[in-house]
Amino acid sequence: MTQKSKFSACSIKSPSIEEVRSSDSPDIIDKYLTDEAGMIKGTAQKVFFPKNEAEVSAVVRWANETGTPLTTSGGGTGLTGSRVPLGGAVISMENMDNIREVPLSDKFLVRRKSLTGEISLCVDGEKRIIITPPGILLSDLYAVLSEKNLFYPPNPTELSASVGGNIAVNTSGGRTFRNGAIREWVKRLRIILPTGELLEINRGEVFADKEGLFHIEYSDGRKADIPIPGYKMPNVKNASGYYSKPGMDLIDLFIGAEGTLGIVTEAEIEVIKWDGGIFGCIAFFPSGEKAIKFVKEARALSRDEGEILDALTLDYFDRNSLNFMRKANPDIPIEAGGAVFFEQFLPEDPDEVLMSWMELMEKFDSLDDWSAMDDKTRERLRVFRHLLPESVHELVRGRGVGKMGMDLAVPDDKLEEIMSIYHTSARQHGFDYLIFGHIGNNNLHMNFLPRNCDEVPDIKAVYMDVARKGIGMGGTISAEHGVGKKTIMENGEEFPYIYMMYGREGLESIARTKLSLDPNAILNRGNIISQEYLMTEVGG
Amino acid sequence: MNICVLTKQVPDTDSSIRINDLSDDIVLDGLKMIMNPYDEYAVEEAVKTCQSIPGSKSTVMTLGEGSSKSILITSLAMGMDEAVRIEDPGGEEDCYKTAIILSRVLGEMDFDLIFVGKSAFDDNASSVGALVAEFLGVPYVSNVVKFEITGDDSLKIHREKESGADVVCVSLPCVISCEKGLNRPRYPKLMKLMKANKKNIPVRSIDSLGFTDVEINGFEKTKTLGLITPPCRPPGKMLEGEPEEVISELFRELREVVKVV
Ligand SMILES: Cc1cc2nc3c(=O)[nH]c(=O)nc-3n(C[C@H](O)[C@H](O)[C@H](O)COP(=O)(O)OP(=O)(O)OC[C@H]3O[C@@H](n4cnc5c(N)ncnc54)[C@H](O)[C@@H]3O)c2cc1C
Repeated sequence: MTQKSKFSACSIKSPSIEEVRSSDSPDIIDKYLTDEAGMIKGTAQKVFFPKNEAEVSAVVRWANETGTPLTTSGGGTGLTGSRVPLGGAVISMENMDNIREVPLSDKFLVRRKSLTGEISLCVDGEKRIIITPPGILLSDLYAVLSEKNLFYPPNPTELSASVGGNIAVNTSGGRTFRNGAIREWVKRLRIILPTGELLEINRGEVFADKEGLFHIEYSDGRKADIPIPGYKMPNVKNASGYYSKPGMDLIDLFIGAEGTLGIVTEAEIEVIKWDGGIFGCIAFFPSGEKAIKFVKEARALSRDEGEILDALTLDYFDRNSLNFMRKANPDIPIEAGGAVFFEQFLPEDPDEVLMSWMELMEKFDSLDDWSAMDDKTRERLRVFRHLLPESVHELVRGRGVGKMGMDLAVPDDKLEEIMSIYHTSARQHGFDYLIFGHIGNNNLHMNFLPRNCDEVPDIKAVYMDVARKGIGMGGTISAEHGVGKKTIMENGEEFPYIYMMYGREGLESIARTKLSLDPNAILNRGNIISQEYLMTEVGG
Repeated sequence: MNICVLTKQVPDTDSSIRINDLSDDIVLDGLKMIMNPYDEYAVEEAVKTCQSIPGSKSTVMTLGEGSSKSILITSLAMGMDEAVRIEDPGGEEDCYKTAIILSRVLGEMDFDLIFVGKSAFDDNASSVGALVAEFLGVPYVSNVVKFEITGDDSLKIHREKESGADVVCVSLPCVISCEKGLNRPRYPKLMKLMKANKKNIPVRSIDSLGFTDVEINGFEKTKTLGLITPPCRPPGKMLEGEPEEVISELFRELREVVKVV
C-alpha cells in the first residue's frame, strides 16, 4: 500500500478582525514581551485574545494579509525567548481554554473553575484520551487527570505552562525517562496554518514521500510541496529544530516546531492510567560519582524487562545544587555530594520493589533519603525538585544577567564524559555553577550563575565550547526547552543556535520547510532561525 | 514519656469538591484523600519529642474508614512507634461524638502528651482536640508554634493569636494543638516506609468501647442540614484606555454601579 503524502487545508468561517478582543495598551502588551528566562525583551504593537478557533483564524489571516509578524504566546514559561515578539502583534492563547465542541459523548466533558475562569476539556478515562484546547494550563490539567488516576506522560513540572506551549516545544519532564517526550502521545492536532486555514491531522495518516516531501492543497486549489529538513537528528532526547526522519508522519513536523508553522487550536493526547500507588524518593549520596553509578545501574535494571525495578523518573542534583537549596531545606545532609530523585509505579504489594531500591541505594552508600508513597509527600518532593530551577531563575534575574542554562543531552555512554566537562570548564574559570536535571536521559541542565554582567561574555564562550563538545559526542544542544531565539557568535558573526548542530545547510533546510508553509514568514519570527537569515539564505 | 497524636484523613485541598445530588454530602468518587496537613506538624513534634526523651513511646490514632490506614502508614514512616485505627464505617462528622470515642480509647492508655492538628482542613471546626481535653479532664493549649519541656511534668508553650503571642506554662498531661511554623515535618525514610507498610495496625471497633446504643445516639450533637457551594464570585471588570479616562470610568462605576463612594 502506498502511503499518503497529500493533505488539504480547509478554510473556516471566521469573524472580522475587529470582533476579536485585543489591546493596544502598553501596560498590557508589556506582559508578553519576555518569558521566564528573561533573556530578551521584545516589542509588539498589539495583543489579541481569541477565544475560539475561528477567531485565531481571523487573526492569522489578518496578519498574513497585512504582512504583520504574529507571535503566539502560551503560558510564557519558556526558557528560550520563543514567545517573545520581535515587533508586530502577539496572539495570546490564554482564553483558548474551553473545548470547541464535545467530540466524544457528553459524559467525557469536564468543566473546572480555574483561576482564569471556567475551563473545559474532554477526558475519556477508558480510552485514556484527552481532547484539549491549547490554553489549558498544566496546573488545571493535572488536577483534572489526577481525579481519574490519569497521568500526562512526560510530567513536566512547570505548572503555569500551557498544553499548546508544551506541544510547540515537544515538552518533556521527569518521567520522560520511561514515557518519552510529549510527541509520541499526541494523536491528533487541529492547527491554524499561516494562511488562516485549518488543518486537522491524525497520527498515522499522512507521511513524507520518498523525495522527503509532503503535498498540501489549500482551499482555493493552490498546491505546495513541503520538504522535510535534510539533516539527520541525533539519537538522543531532542527538542532542537524541526523533526526530520525519512517517511516521517506529518503531525511530527508541527510538534516541536516552536510555533513557526502553525498555531495549535486543539490536541488529542493519549494519557496513562495508573490506579495504584507511586513511589517517589530523593536519595542522597556521598559523592556525585556514586550518585551517577546508582543512576547507571537503576537505568540498566529499568530497561531490563525481567527486573522489577522500573524507574519512571531519574533526576539528578549535584553538590552545588544541594548547597544552593540547603538554606530553604536545612535537612539536606551536609555531607551529600549528589542526590537522585526517582519514581516508580507500584504494584499492589510494593515490598519487593521497595526492597530492590533499598538494596541499590545501600550498594552506593546512600547517606539518607526522603521517601514517599502518598501523593501529598510525593508532591512535596516534586515541589522541592521544581524549586531548584525556579530559584536559579530568580537569582539570575535578580543579578540582571538572564538565564545561562544548558539543555544538552548526550548518548548514554557519554554521561560521565560530559559531566566531567561541565565541572572542569566552569571550575577552570572560577565560575559559579550548578548541575541538575534529567540524568536518566543524560539531559542535565548545567546552569552558570554569573555574578555580574562582566562575567557574561566569558561564560558565553565557555558555554558554546561545552555545547560544541556535546554535539561532538553525538548529542543535542536542546533536549527539552527548544532553541527559540538563542544565538551564537562565530568569528564575529551571529548565527541561530541550531547552526551549531546542523551548519549552514541545516539552516537552509529549515528555512525551506518554514517558507513552504509560511512564505511571508508571519508566524513566530526569530524562532529556530532568525528572520534575516531566513530571508537572505533562501528568500533573498 | 507516652505521646499520642490524633489524626484525620481529609480531602486533598487541590481536589475540586462536588456536592452530591441530595446536597447532604460531598462526592467522594475521584477525591484524593490525605493526612490533614496540620496533623503533620503534630506527628513531627511527637517524633521529635520522643527522640529527645529516651524511653518515650509514640502512638498515632485515627477514627476512620479502611482507607485512612494510609495516613497511619505515613505517620509510622515518619517515625511514630505505634498506630491504632478505630473503625468508623460511616465516616463520622460529629466532633463531639468523635472526641468521646477517641477519649475513651485514650483513657485506656497511659498518656502524658497528646498532639493534634490546629484544625481539620475539611470542617475547620478546631474542636476535637479541645473536646478530648475536656473529656479527659486535662489542659488544652491551642495554636502552638513553639514549646519546650521545662521540668518533669511541665511545658512552656508559645501560642499564636491574631493580636500577638501568648507564652503559657502548662502541666502534663495535656493536649496541644499544632499550628504551622511549629516545625518542618520530616520526609519519611525508605527503611521506615517499608517497615510501616508491613506493620500490622490494630483496628478497634466502636462496639468494643463499651458504649450503650442510647449513649452512642446521644453523642451526636450536630446534624448536617445541607451543603452548598459558595456562590461564584462575579467576574472582574477590566477597564482599558488612557489613565484619565480609566480613572473617571472607575469612579463612575464605584458611584453608580457598585455604590460604594
Ligand atoms: C521553573 C521551570 C521549569 C521548567 N521545567 C520544564 C520541564 O521539566 N520540561 C520542559 O519541557 N520544559 C520545562 N520548562 C520550560 C517551559 O515550561 C516549557 O517550555 C513549556 O512547554 C512552555 O509552555 P508555555 O505555555 O509557557 O509556552 P510559552 O513560553 O508561552 O511559549 C513557548 C513556545 O510555544 C509557542 N506556543 C504556545 N502556544 C502555542 C500554540 N497554541 N500553538 C503553537 N505554538 C504555541 C510559543 O509561540 C513559543 O514558541 C520549565 C520552565 C520553568 C520556568
